[in-house]
Amino acid sequence: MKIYNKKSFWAGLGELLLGAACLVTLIWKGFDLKLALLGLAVALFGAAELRNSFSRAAARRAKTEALDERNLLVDLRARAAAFRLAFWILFLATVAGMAAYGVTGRPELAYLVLGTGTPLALIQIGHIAAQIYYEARC
Amino acid sequence: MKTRVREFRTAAGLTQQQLADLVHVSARTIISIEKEQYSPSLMLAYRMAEVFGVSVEELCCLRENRELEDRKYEDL
Repeated sequence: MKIYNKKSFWAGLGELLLGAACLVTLIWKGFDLKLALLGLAVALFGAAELRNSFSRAAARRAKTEALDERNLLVDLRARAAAFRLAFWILFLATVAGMAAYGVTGRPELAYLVLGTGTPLALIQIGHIAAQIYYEARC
Repeated sequence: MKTRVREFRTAAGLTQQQLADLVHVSARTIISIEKEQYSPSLMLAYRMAEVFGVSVEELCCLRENRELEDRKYEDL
């Protein structure tokens, strides 16, 4: 049996093992309906993915989907939209935190500003660095 | 972008999935191209033109699309 899709094979194996781990937990700690259903669902997904990894047609379909130009564009646009949303949420939280700290002087708010401002700064630096990188290559 | 993909595909007796398999894209991409929601890349347009035995200009209605685009710039 040849493995046509290694990624699918390892993902399927991992999911099967996770399902088996759920079963072991059920035996060890007693029956729990939610855990049983979750374990069964994960094991079934794993088995299906494992079966597909041995199928040449399924592997070809998966590769076509992964390299499809429209799918890549949709993914790129979705990531850009998520980036913009995260940026604006962090920006507004930072500004609100700074204003609140300015008014109240509470030190917890300074920590909040640090918590939201640091990733905001990292996003901006990363954005500028990526722009410089791709500007030179496109 | 307007294209004649659906016209040539039905004339060739191909399904969307069959055309997708021939040009190495997903059926969803072919559907989007036929609905004019997605413009194919140059390579994809060339592959499809080869399948149908037509030119890229004919398949993608380049003259018509260029005139439509030119009209947008006239308004500026």
